[in-house]
Amino acid sequence: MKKPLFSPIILALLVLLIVVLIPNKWIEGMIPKERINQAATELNPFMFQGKYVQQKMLENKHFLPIYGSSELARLDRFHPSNYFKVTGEEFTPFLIGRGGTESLIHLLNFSEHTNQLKGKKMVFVLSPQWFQPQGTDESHFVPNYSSLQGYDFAFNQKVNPTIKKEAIKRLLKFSPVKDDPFLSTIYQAEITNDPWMKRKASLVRPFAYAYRNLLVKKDLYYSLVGGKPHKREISHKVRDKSWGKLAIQAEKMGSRKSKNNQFCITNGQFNKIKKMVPSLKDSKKGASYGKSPEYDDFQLLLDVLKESGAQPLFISVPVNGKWYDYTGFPKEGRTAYYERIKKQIQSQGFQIADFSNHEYDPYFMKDTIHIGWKGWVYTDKAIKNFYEGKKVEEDLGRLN
Amino acid sequence: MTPYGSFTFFFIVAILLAPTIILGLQGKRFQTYNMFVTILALGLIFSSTLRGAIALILFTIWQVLLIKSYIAYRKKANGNSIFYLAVILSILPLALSKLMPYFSQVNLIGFLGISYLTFKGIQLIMETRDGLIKKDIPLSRLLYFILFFPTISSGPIDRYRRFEKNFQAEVTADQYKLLLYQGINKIFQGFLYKYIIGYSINHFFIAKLRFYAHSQFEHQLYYMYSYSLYLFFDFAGYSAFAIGVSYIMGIKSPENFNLPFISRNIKDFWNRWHMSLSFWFRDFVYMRFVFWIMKKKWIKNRNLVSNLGYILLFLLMGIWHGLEIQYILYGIYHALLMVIYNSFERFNKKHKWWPQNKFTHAVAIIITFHFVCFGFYIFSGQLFHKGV
Repeated sequence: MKKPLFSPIILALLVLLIVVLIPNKWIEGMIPKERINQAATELNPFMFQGKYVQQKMLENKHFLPIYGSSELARLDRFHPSNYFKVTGEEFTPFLIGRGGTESLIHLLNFSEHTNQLKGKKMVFVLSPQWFQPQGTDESHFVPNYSSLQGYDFAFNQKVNPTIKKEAIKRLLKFSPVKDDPFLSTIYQAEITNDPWMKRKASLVRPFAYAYRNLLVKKDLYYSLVGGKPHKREISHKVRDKSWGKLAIQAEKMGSRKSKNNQFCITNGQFNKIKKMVPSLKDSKKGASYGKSPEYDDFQLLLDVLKESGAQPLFISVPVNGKWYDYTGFPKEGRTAYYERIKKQIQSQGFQIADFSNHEYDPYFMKDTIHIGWKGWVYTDKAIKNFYEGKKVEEDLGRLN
Repeated sequence: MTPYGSFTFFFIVAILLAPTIILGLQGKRFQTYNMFVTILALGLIFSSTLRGAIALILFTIWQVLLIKSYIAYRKKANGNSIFYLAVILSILPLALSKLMPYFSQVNLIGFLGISYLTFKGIQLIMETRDGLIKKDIPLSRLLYFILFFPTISSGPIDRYRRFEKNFQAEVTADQYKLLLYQGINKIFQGFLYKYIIGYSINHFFIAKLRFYAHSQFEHQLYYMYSYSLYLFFDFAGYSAFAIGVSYIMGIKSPENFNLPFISRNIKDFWNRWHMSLSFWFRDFVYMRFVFWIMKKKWIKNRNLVSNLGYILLFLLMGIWHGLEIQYILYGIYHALLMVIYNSFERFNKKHKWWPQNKFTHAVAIIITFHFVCFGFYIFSGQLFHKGV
């Protein structure tokens, strides 16, 4: 055997020590200013789960954050990111969300920035599919949960204690929180009167805080590295057009791209599900989005936004009516959702653009569940009105 | 806490072993401190499930009582039936824990590492029977051997007489330096294997198979090879952690893997793959079976005895992994390969049909690799799960 040689391990420990102990300010100094602009359409999950980039974004008046889920990645030419870019709008949409980022995930993210939300205009795109009878599940929660946001929530003193407790009860149901020995101890101490638990938590807190600081640093490193540009369409063909003209353009594009099925689904998407289509007929009989724990999760999110003084516009996205009828998903199960969610949002005094009457509007949806093409045109108009402080309209007005 | 499962685990172990390292580098004895560390580490590993902890304690008491009383008995007499009874009683908890899931919702007997600890128990009884262990074993050392934390969850399976030699050895400062160096090396090899290579295979290939494969057959084929490589890197990485930590504690736990994918034939493979397990089965099942049959002169044909021994060995090894159909088939598959290879080897000795040169060596490695991968494909259970 070779002679024992310890210099490599000592060097490795030294490097680790430097990486961990380097002041955050120095790393921040190295992050290029352009990073925030780049991040606007990158849809980088590390950014969603992080803190620094979003914090800088919220500081900057020129960004309009759009929170949502998988529809945000449908970056066609009618998507707000292209539309407001080429029409030279003074704001830039900043996209936050991907498949599975449902109410609880956004709730943690909003809680991270409560002190920055006062008077902040933002858009929030809802998906009916979040409102499953069981609510969000591990497969959606786990990949999107952020330890940093989870730990910061534990130390968060700004969020209303009642809301915080309710949120903690929900979060403790999911494995990344439940199985985290530090976090679950602190969380449990928040919702119990058991003095043992409280003592245990105060014992754990310094360690948790140190770990949280490491996570903050990790986020800075991730921000330094940045993400990859997301594939998107940048087209000037949407400039100088009336909303009506845009809608016609969107319809034409939609009909060109969805030829192989009667559901107005893009060819590519339909090819993926083609084999399963016959087996899906009438497979959703008796289903409904009207009852779900997600409503309570969403209420917590509304409460946090309300408390922090944010000014959100909610977009209520419909489902693809033709497809949902084919799968036998009852109309009542859909309308129950549209009505309930609208009432919930309006009772908080927030604005909503309700597109639920577009279920059968061809090319409003890009596939079975995602808004696209014409749907984005309506959304663009709603966002523009909302940003300019006008009344949010749900129709396009004159069609020329 | 799962051993070697998180950064926190390594961090805690590093802190716990800091005194060992300091003592070792000064050439002082550290095994008493290590025993104390083992208690702490066991507490950490089993603290998450109370049931597991209780099962471990009861299991340990059972095995210790059994071993101690058998050693005491063996000093006076050497009856066959008592020996068989002791072995059966030693296997009993493992057998019950494997059968339990078929009868009850909760497994009251099973705990992390039960199969590996059982090997240590049976081994002690068998070596006592053979007269290799004569003296009574101090209780603390027996417990330390059985519960030695670095190898508790999945081996490598150590032998008591080897362990004892390390335990009693006076380690000089220079010798310890080398042990520490080798230990750190092993641990970092483990990081490379398990958390870089193994993780990447799983995360970037197996999890995304549906994007790479264009048909069901392709899917299964890719899965077979990638799963085999994943299994190796994951398990070899784990073993490297266990061996590395053992070394730092002054115990040279046996190696578990020796480049298994360059095996020339299936026999060679079993001398390179999960070695501590296959050697255990070789010494305590195969050899014993062959000797016993020969002694009783029930079967004269040496070759037949040897084949029967292989069949017994691999069936038992399959069942030991679990009673699920895939493990039993995995055992049968390897038994079959062994028997076929055995016959081929004998045939080739006579007829010199397969020459020995560089080219045939390479071909042999390639053939063996594919057969081995198919074995892991059976083992993975992919064949028996509906849909992909």
